[in-house]
Amino acid sequence: MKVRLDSTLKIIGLILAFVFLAILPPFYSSYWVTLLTQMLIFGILAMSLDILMGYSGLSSFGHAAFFGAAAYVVAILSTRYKIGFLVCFISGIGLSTVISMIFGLLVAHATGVYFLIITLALGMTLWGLAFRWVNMTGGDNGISGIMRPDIGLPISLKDPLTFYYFTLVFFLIALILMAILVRSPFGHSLKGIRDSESRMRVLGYHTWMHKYLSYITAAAFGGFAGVLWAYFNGFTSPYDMDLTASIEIILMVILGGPGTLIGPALGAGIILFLKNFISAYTQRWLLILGTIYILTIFYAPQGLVNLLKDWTKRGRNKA
Amino acid sequence: MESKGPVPCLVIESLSKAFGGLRAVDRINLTVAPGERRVLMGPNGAGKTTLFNLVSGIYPATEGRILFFEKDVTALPSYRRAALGMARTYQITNLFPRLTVSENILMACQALQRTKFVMFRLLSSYRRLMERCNDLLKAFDLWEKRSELVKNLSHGDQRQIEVAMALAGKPRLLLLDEPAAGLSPAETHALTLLLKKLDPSITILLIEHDMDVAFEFAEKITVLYQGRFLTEGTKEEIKNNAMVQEIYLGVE
Amino acid sequence: MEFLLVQTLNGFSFGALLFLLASGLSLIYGVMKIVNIAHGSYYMLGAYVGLSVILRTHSFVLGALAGGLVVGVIGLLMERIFLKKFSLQALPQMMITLGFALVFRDLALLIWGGDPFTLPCPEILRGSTRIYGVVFPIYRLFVIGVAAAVAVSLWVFNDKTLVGAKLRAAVDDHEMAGGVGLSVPLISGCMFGLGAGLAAFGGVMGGPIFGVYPGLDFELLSLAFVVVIVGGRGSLKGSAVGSILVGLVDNFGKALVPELSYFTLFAPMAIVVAIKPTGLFGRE
Repeated sequence: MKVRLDSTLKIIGLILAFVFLAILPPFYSSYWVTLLTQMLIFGILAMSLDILMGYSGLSSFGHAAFFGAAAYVVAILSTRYKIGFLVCFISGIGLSTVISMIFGLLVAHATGVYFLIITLALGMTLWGLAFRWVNMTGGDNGISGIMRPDIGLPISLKDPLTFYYFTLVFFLIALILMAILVRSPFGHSLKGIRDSESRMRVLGYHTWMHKYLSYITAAAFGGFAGVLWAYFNGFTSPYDMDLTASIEIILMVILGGPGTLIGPALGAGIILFLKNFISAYTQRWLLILGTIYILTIFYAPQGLVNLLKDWTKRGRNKA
Repeated sequence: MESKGPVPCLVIESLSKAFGGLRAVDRINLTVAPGERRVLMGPNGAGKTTLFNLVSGIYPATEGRILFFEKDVTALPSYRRAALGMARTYQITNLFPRLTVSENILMACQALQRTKFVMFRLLSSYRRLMERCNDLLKAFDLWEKRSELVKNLSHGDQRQIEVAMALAGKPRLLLLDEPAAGLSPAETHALTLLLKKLDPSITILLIEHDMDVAFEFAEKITVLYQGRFLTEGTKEEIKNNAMVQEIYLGVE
Repeated sequence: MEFLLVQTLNGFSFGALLFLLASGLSLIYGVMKIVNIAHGSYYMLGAYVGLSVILRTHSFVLGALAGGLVVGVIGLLMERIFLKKFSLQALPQMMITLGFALVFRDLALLIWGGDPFTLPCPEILRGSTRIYGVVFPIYRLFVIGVAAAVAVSLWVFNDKTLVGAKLRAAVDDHEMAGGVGLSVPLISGCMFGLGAGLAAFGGVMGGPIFGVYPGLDFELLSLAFVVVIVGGRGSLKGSAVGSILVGLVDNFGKALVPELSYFTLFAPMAIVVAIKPTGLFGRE
């Protein structure tokens, strides 16, 4: 039976996810709860990049900039002006969106490799701002002292477990919105542009506009993750948005499988787990990350989720 | 007031395309009446596909004008021309191989609608769009294979999808570039039948190498040679034209 | 006025270093269509290797040569062993160079540690000189001179020599070039190695002025990309003009609005992309 293996795996996956992410957390140590929270936040970030990379076919090397920009907005507004959660949330995403609207004008014409170069350069100019505008951003030292928001809950968000569930809710919101996006008419158009932009134009699509909107949407969701990060980490710095950060997100997408949404979220989880695990034993995280990169390109260029899909298909054909 | 007669669908005036020193298309003039079935013929290198690329907006013209129902579209980008009612198929199949048949057809169905910008509603919830897609799938005998990935389908099926996609937007002008390329005789026959059944109000410009298909389908034939206009006429006139016989026999 | 002259000189000397870095990047990108994320790493590694050699041998010249050669060979090997498998596939190649960039960064951290170093300036080039009453460090003038010499050599090599012609042939048409007996793989490898070596040489040259530290690789990579965007890819003239422009903008930016300095690069990029997306001297 063709359909069985595929949907059986999906259902099992959903059940496992539900159990491990929703039911069991109260039994985890705070180390794991904190790590899981981080995974969820970067999961959102990785999925946002997937909209660009996996669904639109645009490899952005400056995506972390939107993540960091939103985090800085939260940092500045909440530590200096004591502004509450809702305004910070909206402002953070707002700034990332506005920046992407400006940057987008420069990049939406570009394709392939050139897109990569220009997004890299743009991302780094934003990093430069975070690094050098010391009065505003604290420069190399960043901004610390971001307090968990008080949203009127009986239990404080300072408690790791409460903040974890808080983040989980946002993760699910982001996941659902992005899942609808990629199955919407707009999302469908992106897939076409990814596979053959010239064909799309002849069909009647104003592809520039789609790419521009895709870029902005990805940036908005990246900002979404950035806001959560600021509150989670309590501290933000230029290192959240430099080239290395953008590169890590790209690896999450590639490892998990571009164009699958869930894949990059899983990729985020794996990379963060490895990073935490490995950093406990050695300083050589970058070396290992770099090697993983190279190995992934050589042996699993389509990413893990797509690899899994291929395996299940082959298994299906045998049966 | 003089009655001018019906507005021509397509008027090409002195159209040229140069690639560096090479003139792939050289000052071609062409007029196609609405609803006409015109065939473009000529040996390889005659400039037929280049002409199609010029008309559909893929190449900018080096000189000359293109008028589509009297509107000057020479400077318009491809997607604007599609919105005005132009559609085309490709000589080398140009589908979305990683997507399914339905997804390909849907891509064409929503191309000229505003819905293609909607982000937060499922595509599958657009009933009219899905119905149009299903109608096309059934009309082109693709219903059974609708969930297959295009790259796994036979060449004949892929050519069917090409035509289906071109018709999805209800075009006024259909540019078909060698639709029978690579098809078996049986498939070619099926294709010819299908082409003949197309809505008579659609203007069709067909490039075809297969003489039988060309002669069966054409009302009027335009022959190109080395980028230039050679001659034009009815089936009979062209069949018996000495120049045409020479350029074809000479090459074959 | 003095301020203007000094800053212009500084901008030019920074531009000189950028040229050494960006010309290689532009060449590799324009010629081989590879975006080399590890290019900034070559500069950094060159500086580090140069540093070690200079400290041991007290010879700046040896340091520069060693830096250029060692990294050039690394570049050649990288291309021949890892990149050729994905020839003409831009994205995988880029990802691989990216992996290497991370590896290089970490190896550098491992071998030389995280503290910044300044390379010792050669004796005869220390101190300053007075031109029109303005004081200029001799070394900076030297750097400009060296970069200019390299630029001219590259131009001559590319335009006037047989080897240059072979290179251009290999660039324009792989298959034809192979058909007439040119060894395209060898040429690709050498191009890559040359670009890497140039960048590394630049690293040693820049060492006494800007020093070397982990993080320099990506900072400079971005600048090099801005040069390529502004100047156009694959164009030597573009690299030269772009480098000078970026050097000047960055330098004046640092001097006039230090808080916004890196960000000032956004302006020339935006202008060029808006007016001539392929860069000032880019083709296509």
